[in-house]
Amino acid sequence: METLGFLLHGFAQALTLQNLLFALIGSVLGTLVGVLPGIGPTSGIAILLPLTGFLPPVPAIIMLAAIYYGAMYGGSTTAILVNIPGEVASVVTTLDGYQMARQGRAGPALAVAAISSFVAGTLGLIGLTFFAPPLADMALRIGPPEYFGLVVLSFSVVVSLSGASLVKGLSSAALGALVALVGLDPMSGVRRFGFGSSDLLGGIDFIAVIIGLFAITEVLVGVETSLTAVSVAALGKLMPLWDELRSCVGTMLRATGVGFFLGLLPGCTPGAISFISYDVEKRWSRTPERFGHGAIEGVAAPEGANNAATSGGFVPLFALGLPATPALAVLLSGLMIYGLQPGPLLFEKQPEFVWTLIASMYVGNVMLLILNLPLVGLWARLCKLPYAIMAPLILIFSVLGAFSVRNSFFDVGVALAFGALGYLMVKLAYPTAPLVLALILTPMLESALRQSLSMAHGSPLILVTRPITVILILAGLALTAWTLLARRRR
Amino acid sequence: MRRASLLCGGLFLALGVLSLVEALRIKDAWQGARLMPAALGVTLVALGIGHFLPSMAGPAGALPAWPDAPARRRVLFMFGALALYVAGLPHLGFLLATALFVLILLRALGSYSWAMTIAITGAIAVASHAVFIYWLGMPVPSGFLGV
Repeated sequence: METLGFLLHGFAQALTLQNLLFALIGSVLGTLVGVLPGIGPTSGIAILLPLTGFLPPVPAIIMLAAIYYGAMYGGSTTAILVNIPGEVASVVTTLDGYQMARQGRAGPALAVAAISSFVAGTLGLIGLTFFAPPLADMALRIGPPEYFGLVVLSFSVVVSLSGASLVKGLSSAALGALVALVGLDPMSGVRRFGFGSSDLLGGIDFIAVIIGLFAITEVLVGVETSLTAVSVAALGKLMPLWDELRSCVGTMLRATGVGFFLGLLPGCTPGAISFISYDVEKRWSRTPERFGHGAIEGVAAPEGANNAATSGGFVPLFALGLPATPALAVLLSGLMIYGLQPGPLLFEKQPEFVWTLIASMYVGNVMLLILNLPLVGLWARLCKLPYAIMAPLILIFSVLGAFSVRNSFFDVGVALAFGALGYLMVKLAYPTAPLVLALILTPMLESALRQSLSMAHGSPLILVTRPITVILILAGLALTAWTLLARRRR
Repeated sequence: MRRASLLCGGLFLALGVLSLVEALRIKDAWQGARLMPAALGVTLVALGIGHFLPSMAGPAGALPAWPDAPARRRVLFMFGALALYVAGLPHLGFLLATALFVLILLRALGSYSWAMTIAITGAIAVASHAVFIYWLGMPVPSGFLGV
């Protein structure tokens, strides 16, 4: 009851005309920056953060929350329209979203991304509102061995993303793992796969890799096939059919569950979570063969999970000061300027601050839906832009996006190299999604495994004696076996 | 198909050996920094060998068609233009390099008149400069023109 009172007080603060206006400005600016291909939410929030500097604390917090949600939503728009994921979590959205755009269904893809983000984001916020303190306590009990089990379970997704050849899917994942190991070992500081290059010391940046693998590869494939526009099909209905929306209700709810609970775990990135959610949906579906070819559930699942994970991610952020994503880290730094002091006693010590922030996230979510649904038509028309204009635009944004990661031309070179690699992978029928998934999961796997071994003085038995770890590993093996059996039957 | 599979198998085998050599080179405990390179090395070697077994390389019809000579030229041209753009950026500056890049691609991919080509080129180069360099303040080198 006390929670509800605090929340209502937060809404009273957030719903004044002046604050609603700042929420609107934040949503618009956040979406605009998020939509710029290659910029992504992290840089977007960092760029817009100083704009809130001239405001008093409450409108500043509200505008920050709106910028955050706007930038997160904007990232998926580019994934759907031009196959450039604005952030890690949008990589999976490209699998079906871009296919829908090419079929002239960019409108429904964008609309379902907005609706799913809204539904899962709001449900996640309800979870955050009522269960944050006990959930933070629970998340703290998950140790490195349990994380290891979770990553093993996540790796089982590789098999279902493998396409026609299992060897090729696994090889693609192994390549991703190899790329993830380049650079200084985060635990011991030892140089690995450095080959004497100082550029490689900092590792190979994820954003540069996905820009290469998705955006540059797509342009090369488009040029090869003399594409005249991203979508040559007639621009159909801008909104999803009622039946499609109805079929996505279950998807959104499942995505919310997966996203919110995995989002609670610090270190479990939205990138991995959106892959898991996509896989859950593919397994749940009676027609899994549609996935990867423009299935609307393939857009709703990762987008919903991503937003629910964001809400879940606020639990460790508030209770422990642990940001689950780089974008949340930038947001946290902005909130700390206005006096947020994360910690287990945050809800008791700064109730007004926290509940105003939570209320403003509800407002930001609603604002975003109201703002973006009417814009769907405008974005969708971008797919009809002549490819002679679209291709240079995509490539310029790709170069700038890769450069902006560390202001280095080395990252641009990495994007180019992965563009060429991605093209060869398409031609040789190697799926790129397992590479991306392994790139996300390998650092998590390594740190969880090594921390577990360190806890047990080098004994691997710790991985088979903790019940949650054993359950997660067995679930991973069972899912792998299930997928292999299904493949054999097909 | 078979030749490509063998070639890729050889590549993964080589990457596996490289990973194992790296694991041996690293001076750390086995459960330390060399654990993952060693495990990955073994995996890559196994996958490399897997490519040599026809039954594991996937269905024969699964490989997309390779581009014919004109399509191959288009892809190489596009990649070459992109590489030249990236190489030229630090020297020519964002505005000039971008304008040249867009101009070349518009001429190659589109069928616009020169006037239209120049107008589109100018619009893209100036707009992207205004958004990314002026508004967002991205520190892209300005080249000899200073823009």
